[in-house]
Amino acid sequence: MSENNHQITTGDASAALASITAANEITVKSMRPPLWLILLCAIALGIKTAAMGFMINNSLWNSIQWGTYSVICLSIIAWIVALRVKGITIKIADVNISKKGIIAALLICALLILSRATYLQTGSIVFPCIAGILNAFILAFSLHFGQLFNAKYLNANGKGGA
Amino acid sequence: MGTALFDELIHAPNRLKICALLAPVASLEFSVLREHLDVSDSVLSKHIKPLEEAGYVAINKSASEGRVRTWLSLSAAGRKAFKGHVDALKEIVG
Repeated sequence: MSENNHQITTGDASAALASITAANEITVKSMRPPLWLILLCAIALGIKTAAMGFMINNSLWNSIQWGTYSVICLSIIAWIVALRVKGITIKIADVNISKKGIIAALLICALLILSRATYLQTGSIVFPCIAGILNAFILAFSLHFGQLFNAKYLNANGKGGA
Repeated sequence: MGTALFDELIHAPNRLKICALLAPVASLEFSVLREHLDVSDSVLSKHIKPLEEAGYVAINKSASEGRVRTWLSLSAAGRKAFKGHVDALKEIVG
């Protein structure tokens, strides 16, 4: 059934690629977590980020840090289960993190580290709080609006990620 | 670009969309695919059958909450064929 057949026009090929991209986006949008889950994760990450700074020699903040980490992990599991109920199953190995996803992840990690580092250096609670708010915002915005991942090799317009 | 190979079977508009919808996920339920394509059950079944016969799409049925759910997924051969077809389209566009 497969053969090399270039008897379609460039226009037809473009239209086919556009159709693929559109269909791909429909599926990716369907995989977006519900708003309440996004907010829960974002708030948990914000608290975790602040707690990363405050937890030094403080068992309460240490517990809060681990508690919010658990909330984030459970949220991911809840998302996967919710997708299955919706009729979608995902396979991490077949998913590429897009450039936007990588940038968001790097920013979040940087703020997590800076939260701890600045508190250690200065003892000021300001930066951990700001870092927490920023991380919450980055995660909420990225999960709701950003295309953080796409299928392997399926960026039909040839660009890497969204 | 790798192994660009135009595939007449995949190129039909609805089948192309089926492959594109299945590609980002492990599997999609039949009803979800039907909703996204906005076609009837019989039309969707008609397009899936040749893909299944070619070994591009796998169909699994599972019972959940008292009802049977039909799951569709792109096989390894289907993913390879789809990738080759996308690459072939990109070569044509240039």
